[in-house]
Amino acid sequence: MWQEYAIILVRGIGLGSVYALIAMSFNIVKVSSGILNFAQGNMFVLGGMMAYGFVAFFGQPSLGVWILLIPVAAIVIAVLLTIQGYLTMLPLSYSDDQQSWLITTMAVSIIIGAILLLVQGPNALMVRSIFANIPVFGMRVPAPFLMAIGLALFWYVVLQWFLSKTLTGLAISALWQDPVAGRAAGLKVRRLQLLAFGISGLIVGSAGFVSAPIITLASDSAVAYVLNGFVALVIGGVASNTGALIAGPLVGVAAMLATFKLGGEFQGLVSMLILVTILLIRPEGIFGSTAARRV
Amino acid sequence: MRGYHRKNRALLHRAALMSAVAASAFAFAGPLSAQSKEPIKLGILTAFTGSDAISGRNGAIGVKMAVDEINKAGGILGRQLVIVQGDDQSDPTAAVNEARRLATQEKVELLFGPQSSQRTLAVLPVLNETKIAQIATSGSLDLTPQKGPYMFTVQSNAADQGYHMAHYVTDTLKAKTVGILTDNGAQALSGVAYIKKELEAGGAKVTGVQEFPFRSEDKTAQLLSLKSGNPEALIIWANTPEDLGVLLNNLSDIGWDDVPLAGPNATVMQASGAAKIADKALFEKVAGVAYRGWTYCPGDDVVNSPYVKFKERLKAANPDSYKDLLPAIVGYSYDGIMILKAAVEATGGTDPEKIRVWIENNADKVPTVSGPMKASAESHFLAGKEVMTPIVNPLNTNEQGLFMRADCK
Repeated sequence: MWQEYAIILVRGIGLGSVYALIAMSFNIVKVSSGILNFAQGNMFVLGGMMAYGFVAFFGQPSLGVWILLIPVAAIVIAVLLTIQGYLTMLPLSYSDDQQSWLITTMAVSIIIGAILLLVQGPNALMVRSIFANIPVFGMRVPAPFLMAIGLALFWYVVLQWFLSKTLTGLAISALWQDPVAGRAAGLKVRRLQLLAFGISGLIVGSAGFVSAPIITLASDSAVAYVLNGFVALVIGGVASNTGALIAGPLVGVAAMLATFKLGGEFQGLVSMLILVTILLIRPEGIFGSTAARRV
Repeated sequence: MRGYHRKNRALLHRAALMSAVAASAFAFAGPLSAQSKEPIKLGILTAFTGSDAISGRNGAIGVKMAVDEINKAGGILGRQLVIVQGDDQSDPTAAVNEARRLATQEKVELLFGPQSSQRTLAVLPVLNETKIAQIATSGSLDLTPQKGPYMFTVQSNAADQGYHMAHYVTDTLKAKTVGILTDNGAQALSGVAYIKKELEAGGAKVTGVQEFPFRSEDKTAQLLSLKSGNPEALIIWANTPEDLGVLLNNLSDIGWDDVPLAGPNATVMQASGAAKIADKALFEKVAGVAYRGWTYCPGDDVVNSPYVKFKERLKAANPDSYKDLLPAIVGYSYDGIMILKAAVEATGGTDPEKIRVWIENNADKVPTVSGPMKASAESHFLAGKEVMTPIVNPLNTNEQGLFMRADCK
């Protein structure tokens, strides 16, 4: 019996790590510009589609090539996200105090989805993993589940180091506290915000590529990933990468445990229940922080 | 003089009356003859976008193929068929809006679609109100003649598919304990009660029931839950190739790939897509339910099968995209239009009431490629229990692409 729980734990954490990665990519943009980029889901799917495209054109890559392709996918998505960030923030150059980003990011998401539908049709793309399944507790787990866990830890460490140990990272963190003061202090705010968009692209691009064999790559599948990433973001606490790292797997494991013990119809309900409970008890999220504001 | 004038006026009145009658006769005759030459507007209301666009694309190709053949042969009652498309976006709300547009603005006389139960149920009030004869491809048991008097469906319903799945498990596999795993679509969920009933009638016990959302990444939790009941066989209802492929991989991952599986019609149609991510060996224990027209037993005259001939025509009409098509969906959509055509010809028009009565009594006389179809006043499911049959290993087709029936001697 314990093997079943162990397998659920491993797979739940693996899938939850994907949500954690999306939540972290939300965070870096949110910290720098206050924007929640709803196009992240489709950018994540695009990362996965790059894995499909490579296999379709060049065949199954060797391990060395596959490892080299991760940064390639990450950089391509980072460039796309930087361009998207530039377009999203164009209207904000007239006034920071507006919500046009809400429409812009959703519009980009819809446009990407429509392009994907036109280019590859309604069928979901399916990618075979180049790795053999890994034996765990007498059963097997597809390697991408474990790689997603590793990637989430990798990006968590990188982001923590970058945001707390480098001048550029500290400048981005400062924008979260007070962008006006940051600008007054001479920070190149727009440049930092675009950099944050780029970093978020590196995260979702690499996440999509690595987890391609275990995710659904279709023109309409991004919504589910954005939603789960957003749930992980809110539960963990907006702007907290530690929160994202813990909340993502929490959502993944809770959904799988609910399915195992109660039934598949409770899979989505449980993560929403956790979300509502957290919002009632601790609206700022598990690791979120509240700040005093003069009114 | 006065008498002359009176007589003259009477003559004038008579002449005016005759002119008016003649003029109105001309006026009537004009539109009537023009009307008889007017094309028949056939609406296609299906998913060109969204999660169900695979069905929509294939369904639309089947309809267009039927329309091309009908128009080349002179149309219906001398009238050409013209297609008017509506995209329901795989969404019931959008389906209702498009149904209203097709019915009231485009004024279609016949309709094909929608291709899922949720959307078909959603549009029925609109089509009942506007009285349009309709061929859908949906399998929910809620689609009764009372709810949709002018709606017929070429999709086998959940109960009939469930009947074959359950009897394959109890009669062929002789399993005494069975687990059930379905997606969370209306068709699959509505079939569970019937599957349970048939399993119990066959002497089998249901050890567990589980469901999963469409296109979910992992079904391990559901499978582990079912495995704990230790069933001898599984009934699985997955409607997309991704779900079927993931399910088979998950079974293999947890070391349970020796359990025999019985799936619905979708298993047969989606197996080749699922094989892109699941090893072919995993399909050896998979059975599905197919239209009789798609099947064979060794010794059958397969070369002259209407379905085989149809696939050859489909390939000739779509040489570049044929490999990406699902001939099964294309085929039964084509059949639906051919049944509508026969009904319009036989009743002399597009009166939905007459079409309804004709199809209820005569659908079995229409040659179809998927297998003999039949309806009645009690059921508008054209692909009933007799049309369907269990098949084994949906990847193991013969040279003509036909599936081997489970009851072959």
